[in-house]
Amino acid sequence: MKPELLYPCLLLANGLFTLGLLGLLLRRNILLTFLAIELMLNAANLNFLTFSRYHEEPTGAIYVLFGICLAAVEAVIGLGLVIRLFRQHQNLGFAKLAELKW
Amino acid sequence: MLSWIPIGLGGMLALAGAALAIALRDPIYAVLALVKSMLGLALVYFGLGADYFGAIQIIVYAGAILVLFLFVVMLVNLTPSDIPPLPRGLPLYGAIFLALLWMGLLSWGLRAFGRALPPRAAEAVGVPYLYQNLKAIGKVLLTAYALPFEVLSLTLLVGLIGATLLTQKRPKS
Repeated sequence: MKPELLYPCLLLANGLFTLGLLGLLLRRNILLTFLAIELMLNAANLNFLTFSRYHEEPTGAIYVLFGICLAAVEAVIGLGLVIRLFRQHQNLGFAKLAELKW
Repeated sequence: MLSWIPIGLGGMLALAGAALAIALRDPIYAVLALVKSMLGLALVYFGLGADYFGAIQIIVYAGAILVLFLFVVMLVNLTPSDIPPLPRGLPLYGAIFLALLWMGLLSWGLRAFGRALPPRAAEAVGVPYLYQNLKAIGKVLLTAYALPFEVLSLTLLVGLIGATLLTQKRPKS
């Protein structure tokens, strides 16, 4: 990989992460917040892969595998919570999440 | 340079999809925009020479995780009228200002970091990344990272059980 490809890829990951952060700050719905979190996870994956490619090292790529796997688990648990919350309240506002406190 | 094309194209697709995903009111359109963003990211991975991860990105992210999102959007019958509109005034501009500040600082720091990066060890290897890709990854995954790999499988099992437990019907007491 040419060194001049490193910075554009990092900038792209940075942009994706920033958009995810913006979505997290602005959207007031649990499902859309999950979408923003997926975006941020993907930005992290792109960073790992870029550095793995830059140093020609497989370690970073393995972390991408782990990251994708964890994202799948996170999505499944989060969506399970969403369905459960919807069954009890017919409403997915953030205010209802307060009852998850123990 | 050929790899500029997929990286540039995929990067633009990914950024546009991400921007649409956080701006669109209709949740189904938002999820579909995120699918577009993931496909663009897969293109970037192909451009980086990591074909395996591009394929995984398409199969697992676009094909499984986001379709699961789509199913849930339809299952809970989320319509645009259920989504509160984006805030106006100070919360909106404050959030945009914070995000831009974050992005500017990070880009500036990355540029300084790029100059301080150590020289690459790869020049001496001489083996194209593309060809050693899967073999090297498999070897490291099942030797040095065997324990995290097993723990990850356990995490998947916990996710499976948790999702079943959370969504099962329970009589109201």
